[in-house]
Amino acid sequence: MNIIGLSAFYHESTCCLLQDGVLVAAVPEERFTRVKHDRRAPINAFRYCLQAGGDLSPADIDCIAYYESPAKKLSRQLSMNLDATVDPRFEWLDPGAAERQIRESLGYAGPILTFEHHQSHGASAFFYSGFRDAAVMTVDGVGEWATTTYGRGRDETLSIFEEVHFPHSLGLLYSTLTDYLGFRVLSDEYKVMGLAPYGKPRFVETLGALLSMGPGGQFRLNQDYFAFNQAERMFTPALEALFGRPRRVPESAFEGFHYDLARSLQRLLEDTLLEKVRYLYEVAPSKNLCLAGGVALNCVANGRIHREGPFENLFVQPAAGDSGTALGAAALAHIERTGTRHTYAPLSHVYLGPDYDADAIGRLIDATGIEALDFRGDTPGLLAAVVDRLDAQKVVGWFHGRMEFGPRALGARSILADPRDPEMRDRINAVIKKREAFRPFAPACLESRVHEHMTLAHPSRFMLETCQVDSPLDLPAITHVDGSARVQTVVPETNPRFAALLEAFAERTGCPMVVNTSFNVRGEPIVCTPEDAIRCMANSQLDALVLEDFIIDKAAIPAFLRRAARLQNHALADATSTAVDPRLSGGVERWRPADGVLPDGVYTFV
Amino acid sequence: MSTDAPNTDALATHLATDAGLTAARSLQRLGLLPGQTRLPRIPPPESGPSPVLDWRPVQREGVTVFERDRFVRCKPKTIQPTPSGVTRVCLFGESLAAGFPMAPAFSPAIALEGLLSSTEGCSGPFEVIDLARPNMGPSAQLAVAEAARQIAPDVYVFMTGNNWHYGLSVEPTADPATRSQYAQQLGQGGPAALASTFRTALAARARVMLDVFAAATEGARAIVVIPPVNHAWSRRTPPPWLGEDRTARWYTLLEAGEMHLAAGAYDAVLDIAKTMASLDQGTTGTPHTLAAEAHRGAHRPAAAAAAAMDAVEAANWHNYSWALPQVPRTVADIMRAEATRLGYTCVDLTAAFTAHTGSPDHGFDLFLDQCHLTVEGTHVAMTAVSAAITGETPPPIDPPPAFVGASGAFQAAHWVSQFFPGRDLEEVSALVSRQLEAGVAGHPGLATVLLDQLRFKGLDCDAALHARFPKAMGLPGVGAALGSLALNPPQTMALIDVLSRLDPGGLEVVLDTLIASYEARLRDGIDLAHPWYSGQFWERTPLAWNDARGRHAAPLYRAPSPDSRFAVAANAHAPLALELVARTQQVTAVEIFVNERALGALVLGADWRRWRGLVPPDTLRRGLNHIRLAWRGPNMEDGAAIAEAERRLAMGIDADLFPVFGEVYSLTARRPLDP
Repeated sequence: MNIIGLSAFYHESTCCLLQDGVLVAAVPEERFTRVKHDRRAPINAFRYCLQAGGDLSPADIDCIAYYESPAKKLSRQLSMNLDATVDPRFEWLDPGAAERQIRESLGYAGPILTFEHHQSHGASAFFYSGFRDAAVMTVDGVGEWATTTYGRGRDETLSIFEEVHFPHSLGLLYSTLTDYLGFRVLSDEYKVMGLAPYGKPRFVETLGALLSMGPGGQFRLNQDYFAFNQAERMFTPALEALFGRPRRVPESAFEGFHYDLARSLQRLLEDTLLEKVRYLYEVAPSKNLCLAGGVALNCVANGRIHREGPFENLFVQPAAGDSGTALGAAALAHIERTGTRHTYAPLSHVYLGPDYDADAIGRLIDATGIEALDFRGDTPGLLAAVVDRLDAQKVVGWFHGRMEFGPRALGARSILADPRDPEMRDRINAVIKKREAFRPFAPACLESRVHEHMTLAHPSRFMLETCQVDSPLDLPAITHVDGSARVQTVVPETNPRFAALLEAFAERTGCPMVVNTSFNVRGEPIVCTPEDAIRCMANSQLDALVLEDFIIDKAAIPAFLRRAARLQNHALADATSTAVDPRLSGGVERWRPADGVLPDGVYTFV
Repeated sequence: MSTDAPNTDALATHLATDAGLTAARSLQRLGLLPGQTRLPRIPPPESGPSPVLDWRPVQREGVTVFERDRFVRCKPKTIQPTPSGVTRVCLFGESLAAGFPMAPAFSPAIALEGLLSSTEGCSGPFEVIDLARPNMGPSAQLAVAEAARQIAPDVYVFMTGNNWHYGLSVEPTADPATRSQYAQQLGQGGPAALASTFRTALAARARVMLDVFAAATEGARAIVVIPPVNHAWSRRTPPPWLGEDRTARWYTLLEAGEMHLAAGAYDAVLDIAKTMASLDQGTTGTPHTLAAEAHRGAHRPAAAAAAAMDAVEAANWHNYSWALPQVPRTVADIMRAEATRLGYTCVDLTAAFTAHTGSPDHGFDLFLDQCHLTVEGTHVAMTAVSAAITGETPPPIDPPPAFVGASGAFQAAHWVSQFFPGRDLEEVSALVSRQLEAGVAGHPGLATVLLDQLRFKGLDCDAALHARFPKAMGLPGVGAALGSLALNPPQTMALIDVLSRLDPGGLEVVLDTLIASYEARLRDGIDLAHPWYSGQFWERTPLAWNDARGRHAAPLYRAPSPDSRFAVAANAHAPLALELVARTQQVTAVEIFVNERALGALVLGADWRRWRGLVPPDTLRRGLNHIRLAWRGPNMEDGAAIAEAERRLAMGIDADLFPVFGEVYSLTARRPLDP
C-alpha cells in the first residue's frame, strides 16, 4: 500500500511516502526549488517520493493523506475579519483550492483523506515514537481552530481530549514577539530562542499582561496586544506602549532590552509548557510524552520538559513544524485504510531525501574543471583527510548519503568544524553562514561518549533538546553563553560514515564531537544536490567541501565560480513585478511567475 | 478582532460548494467584500529628488545629479542638470527602445545620438538619455515618464507600446474577481467575447498611456514612435475551445493548409485560412499567418503584410507568449490619432521601413525576432526619429563594430529557438541556423562559443559552473544565451548543423561528450516530459504559456497541440527503453513515434496508463533522437470544455480556455540493463 502524506499551501510544503508501512521518503519542496519555506504544491517532492518508492506513477498511490481541513480553517479565517489588506485577491476564500491543486498539479485522481491539523501533528509524534502508550501534546501557532491540544495515544488510537482555540496561542505569542523583536514570523522564532540566553528574564512579569493561565490546559492571550488579522504586523500599539519602545528595526543592532525580552519570553514559554505538561500528566498519566507542533522545535523548552517534567520518556517529532504533519497524516491514513498502526518501532533516522552516487558527482566535478581529491574506494583515506582539515581549524561542508528530513542537519548536509576553536563560532557566523553573530552552533557527538561531555542521560539523535556542557575539554564553539548545547548524538547504525568520521576525529584529537550546522547560507534552504553544495561553497568561505568520496578545497574553487554564484543571485533578485498604477485597469504586470523562477537561461527579456 | 468568534462554519461549508464560491466571487467582482475599497495604492512621489528608472539622485558638490550603477552591463553614467546649449532627448520604451539584445554595446539611444550629432545645420549638440528598459510594463513606463521631469528633457521620444498588454491577459495572472467577469463574458459570447474584451481594454489603456505622457511632458516636444512588426514572424498559435466540433475542424483545416502551403497551392491555402478564421472568430493569428505566407509565396507583398498584421491583431489578446510583444493595428491607430490631437510628431516605423526596403512586407533583414531590430533596422528607425527631431534627414553613420550585430544574431538565435512559433522543428531550426551563421560570420570567435554551448547541454548542472563558461562569457555580447542547458531540440539541431559545416572535427569531440553525458544519465532514466526535452513552440514554454497549471516546474506535461515532440541525445548501439505514463479525459489513443517510425500506441482514459516499448537500435541514430506523441484529438468535447471553463472562472479559478490533447506524467527513456 502506497500512502502519500502531504502538507502544503501554508508553510513549507512537504511530501512523504509510507509504503507498506515503511517510511520510504520525506522531503520538503523547498529543497528542490531553492525557495525557502516554499508553500506551493510540492510537485518535486511528490515526484521524488514516487521515484523513491520504485518509479511509481500517481495511479499506484492508494491515497493521499492531507494534513488539515481547509473548510474548518476557512471558518476560522472568516471569523478573523481578514480583508483586502491581507490578500487583495481574496484567494483564501476558496477552501477547495488545496484538493484541486493536489489533483491538478500532482496529477492524482484517487482518494484524498483529510485529517485535522493538530491530529496530524499528534500522529506525527505518537505513531513514530515507538511508544504503545503516551500522552500527546501539540503546540503551534494555529491549525484550523486549535492552537494547543492534549491527547492520549494507545496502540493505533490517538484521542485528543482537550483543545485550546485560536486566538489563544503560545505559538502566536512567540511569533508576535519575534515580530516585535524585528525578526521574520514563521521563520526566525528559533533566533529569539538563541538570543534569550544573553539576557535577563526581567520582563516575565510584564509579559504576564499578555498571557493568563486558565483551568486545565487552557490559557488566554489578552487580545488588546495582538492583531492577528493584519498583514503588516502581529501586534497592536498597546504592545509597544507596554514596553515603551517601538518594534526593533530588522537588521539593526541589538540592545540589552532585546536580549532581556527574548529571555523573558523564553522563560514564560518554558514555564507555561511545564505547567501544561504537568496538567497533561495528571489527566493522561503515562511514562511517555510525545510532542509536536512548531513550538516543539524549541529545544530549550524540550530540555526542561524532559529534565523537570513528570514524564520519563520524551519523543519529539524531528520535523515538529508543519512539515512533519505529512508524516502524521500518512500514519493516520494507514490506520484508516488497514486498521493497524504502520509501525511500533521508533523513528530511527530521518535520512529520507535524495542521494547522489559518487560517479555522477565525479562527472559534475569533471565538468566544472574543479580540482578535487578522489577517494572512491578509500573511505579511511577520505575520513583521515577530513580530520586533517578539521584539526587544522578548517570549516568543512559535508555532503553524504540521503538528505535529512526536518530543519536540522544531522550529518548528511552539514557544515562541520572543530568545536574546540574559540574563534570558530564567530567565523562561521560571519563569513560562512553570513548570519547574526549571536547565533550558537550545535555539536554532533558520538552517542557512546556523550556522557563524558554533556549532562545528557539519553540519546538525542535529532538535535531537539538542549543540555548543559560538562566536559573536560574546552568547547567554546558549541557552548552557548548559558553553558548549554543542543547536541545530536550519533550512532553508526544510522549514519555509519558520519559516526566513523567522529571516531576518527576523536582518535586524532580526543574530542568525539564536531560543530554541526546546516549546510546553507542565510536565506536559502539546506543544500540538496551536489550542484547546490558547490554553489553554496562558491558563495561562502567554506574551507573544504566533502562531496561523497571527493574533497574540494577552497583554493580549487576558481574565481569564475564565485562570480557565477553572485551573478545568479542578481538574476533572481531581478525577477520582480511592478506595482500596478491605479490609473490603469488590469492585473499584475508581469509574465514572470511571482516566485522569481526564471525560464531556462533567460535573464533579460523584452 | 473579536475573541468570541462568530459561528462561521456554515459559511465556510457553503464556500466549499460551487454555488457558494461563485456567489463570493460575484460579490468580489462588485467590490462588496470587506476592505476592497482600501486596496493598497502606489504611494505618492516623495518630495525631493526621486529615481528616474534606475538613475538615482545623488548630491555632487551641492548639485543633484542622477547616476546609475547597474543596467544590464552598461557602464556607469551621470546625468547632469541640463547644460545650456545642449538639447536633451529622452528615449522611453521597452526592450525595442532599449536595444535588446544588443545593448549596451549598441542601442537605439546610441544610434540616435550618433545620427543627431552627424546632422548638419541643426541647432547645437544633442544628448540622448536612455530611459528604456527591457520588460518594462505600462505602470513603470508612466512612472518613468513622470519622474523624467526632474531631468528636464527638451524632447521626449516615446518608442513604446509593445508591452502595453501586460496585466490584461485572461490567464494565468488574472485575479479571481476578473475571472468571475470572464465567466460572464464567456457565457454570453464565447471565447470571442473575451478577445473583444481584451481589445477594448487595450485600447482604453493606450489612451490612458498617451494622456499621462501628455501631462508628463508639460508642453515640451514629444515624438510618438509606433513600433513596427516583423511580418515574417510566422506565428502558429492555437485557438481556444471553439464550440461544437469547431476545434477539431480547425485543426484538420490547419493540417490541410500546411500541406497546400508546402505544395505551393496558395489559393487553396487562402480559402482554408478564411474558413479557419470564420471558425475561430479572430481568436488566433494562425489563419492570417497562413494567408500571409500564401500571399508571400504568390509574390503579393502588400497582401502578405496586411495578413501578418491581421495575425498580430488576432493573436494579441490572451497571453504573453502567444501574443508576443507587438503593437496591434488598433493601438497603432490610437497612437497616431492621439499624437495628432496632442500636437506631437508621430513616426510610423512601418512606413519608414517600407520606404527603406521598397516593400511593405518586412522580415528578418530588419528584425531579429518578432519586434527587436537588427543593426540595419535600428539605423533606419533612428534615422526617422532623428529627422523628426531636427527636420532634416541625417547622413548615414558608421555601423557599430561587426561583433555587435553578430552577437545580436547569436543571442536572438537562443531566444528565437525558444519562442519562434514556426510550423515545425525544421523551420525553427533553419531560422536559428541562419542567425547562428550570421553571428559567426561577424564574430568568428563565436564558433568556439557554439561548441561550448553544445557542450553545456551535456551537463547536469548550471552552465555557469562549467569550466569553459567564463571563457565563453569573455567574448563581448554573448550575454545570457549561454545559460541554457535545455536540450532545446531546434537550437541543438541548429548548433549541430552550423558546427558540422564550420568545424566537423571539433563538433565530433563535443558531440561525443554530449552523448556520453546523456548515455550516463540514461542508465538511471531521463524523464523527457520535462520541458527541457520538448521540442515544439507551444510546448516549450510552460512558464509562459497560459496554462496556469503549467507553471512551477511543469508538474505535468499537458499537450496543447495534436503532436507532442521530445528529443534525447543518444547513441545507436543498443536498444532504448521508453515508458510513457499518460491519460486523457475521454477514451482515445496516442501513437508513439521515434525518429518518425511508429513504435506503438496506447489506449488512454481518465486513469493514468502505462506503455512500455523498446526502441531497436536501427531506429535510433547517433545524436539527437526525436520522439513524437500523436494524439487523436482534444481530450474533451468542445461544449463540455467551455462549460467547465465557465464554471471554474465563475469561482475565480484558472481554467483551460485552450484545448489540451493529453496529459503525460512521465516519458522515460532508459538504457535497459538487459536488452
